[in-house]
Amino acid sequence: MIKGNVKVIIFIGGGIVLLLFTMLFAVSFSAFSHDAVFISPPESWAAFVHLITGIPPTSVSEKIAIFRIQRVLAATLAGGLLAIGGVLYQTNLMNPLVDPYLLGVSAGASLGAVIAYRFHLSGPTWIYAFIFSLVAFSFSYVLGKGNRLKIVLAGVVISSLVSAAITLVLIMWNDSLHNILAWLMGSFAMADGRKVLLEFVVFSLLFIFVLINYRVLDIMLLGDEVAHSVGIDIYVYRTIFLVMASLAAAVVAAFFGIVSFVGLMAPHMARILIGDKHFMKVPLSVLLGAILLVIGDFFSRAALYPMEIPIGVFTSVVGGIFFLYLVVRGDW
Amino acid sequence: MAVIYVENLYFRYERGRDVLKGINLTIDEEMFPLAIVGPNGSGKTTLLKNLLGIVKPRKGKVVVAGYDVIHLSGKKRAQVVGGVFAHSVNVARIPVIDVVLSGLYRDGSPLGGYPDSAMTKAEDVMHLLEITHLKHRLFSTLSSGERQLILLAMVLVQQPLVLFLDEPTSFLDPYHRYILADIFKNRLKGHKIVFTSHDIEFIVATAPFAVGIKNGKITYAGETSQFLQEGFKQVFEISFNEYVGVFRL
Repeated sequence: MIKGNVKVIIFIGGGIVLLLFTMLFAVSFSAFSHDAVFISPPESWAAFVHLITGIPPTSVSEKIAIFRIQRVLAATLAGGLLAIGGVLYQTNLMNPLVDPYLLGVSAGASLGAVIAYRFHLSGPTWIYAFIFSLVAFSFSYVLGKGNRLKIVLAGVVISSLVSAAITLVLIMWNDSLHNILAWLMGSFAMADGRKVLLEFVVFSLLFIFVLINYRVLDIMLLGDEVAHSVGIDIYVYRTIFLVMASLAAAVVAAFFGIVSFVGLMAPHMARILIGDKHFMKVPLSVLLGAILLVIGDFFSRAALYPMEIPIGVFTSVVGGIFFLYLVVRGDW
Repeated sequence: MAVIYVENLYFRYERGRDVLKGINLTIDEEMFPLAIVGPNGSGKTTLLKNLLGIVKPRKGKVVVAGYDVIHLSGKKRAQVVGGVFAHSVNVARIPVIDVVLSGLYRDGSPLGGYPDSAMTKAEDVMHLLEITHLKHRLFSTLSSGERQLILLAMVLVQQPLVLFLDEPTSFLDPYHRYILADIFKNRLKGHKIVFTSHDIEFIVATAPFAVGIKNGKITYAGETSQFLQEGFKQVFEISFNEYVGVFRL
């Protein structure tokens, strides 16, 4: 019963999805191969297959390839998570200029990491970052009382309070400044198999849930009253979506630091390409987010080799230019 | 049994003063379409929101078609009440047909599809409102009036037991206002429609019954013709004759 231009949208959308998939593969495989040591595509493919099937690597180059593959997979999934998070935030708050870090997730993660570094807390840093980001989010959400505008305000307030706390810690104890700064700008050098797996689980659950509920998201864009009228319990859904989006962003922030702008940029690009039908917009955003981060990660490790540039630098520059373009075009 | 039954309803927005101050209202089967009439800020739209269960009363009881609307589940509520408000948002880059179809959200499968009859229903309603030509446009590119018609189509597709419309003619051109009046009078006979409006001509043409509201209190409930003679001045400070005297064409 799909008719008329809906068919056209799905056709075009499907085409774009296919194109982007191909692009993601191409980008990923060149990222596997190129760096300080060149590893031929067949070799990296073999490493990829070994990694998935659990066979231990047979050569040094395969070991290197596996390390790179984990990194690329981590970047791919992080891009996807941030993109879905961005879509959910933008739709639920009906505001195209918000990202999944809005409710204090990034500030909270940073504070957690800063405290863990400074006080040499035992266990991995990401656990502290994750816990703090969820605490910051909960505060903002509770303060926002489920109201679209209040949530944004509460997020801004909590973020700035937490940022003040970070600055205070950094000024009072500046011995781990370099570590902390590097962490704050994000890097996929910290990728490992376990993180990739965790990312994958969170991503899959989120992606399936969002696709199943694509109509709810479509209708939410028509306003709270319309959603209520057709039978959607808007506050329940909004809470679920925002919690899930924040969780996704918290996972990325805790594992790899603050990778800015992707959650803002990818949904925008998808929206320009295909509009707001979430059935199309979500997969497209995911692919765009993934491509952006795989390219970004490749750039960050290869551009100034042997020095590694934090990925946040890359995404901020690209994001800045993209938004400048949007401002000039006058369309968001 | 009364279709709409409101008892001692008090409502206020957060930290505000009471907007509705002890509303008592009984609307029977034969009193539709019903117009809610009152000056700006009198509480018309707020009353509608309470009847739709969008907001929770501070005190009192709201029963529509025998149901306590605030406690209904989403999908059940969509069968009982549905409504459209005058100020719609326009950020959604979604094809118009999808917007109209979303009226049938409650009938959709958990995996997102609509029943086969949905498209036919949506097309019929769009034809009725003479907006078929907008079917493939994006909602965000429409004018306020066009958006109003699309959302009206959506709620007509939804077909709730009682339909609430907030100022349905506020953005419409005379032609579509004429079409809407015709639909109300002739084609939606038997539908239970409640609408708020400042559009006196439209009210006279379409609603045999009216409710007057001022400062959050009901001042009149009865036949519209009677309202014009007796209730109008109480609500609007001038008599209906004075009003007509100035606007006589």
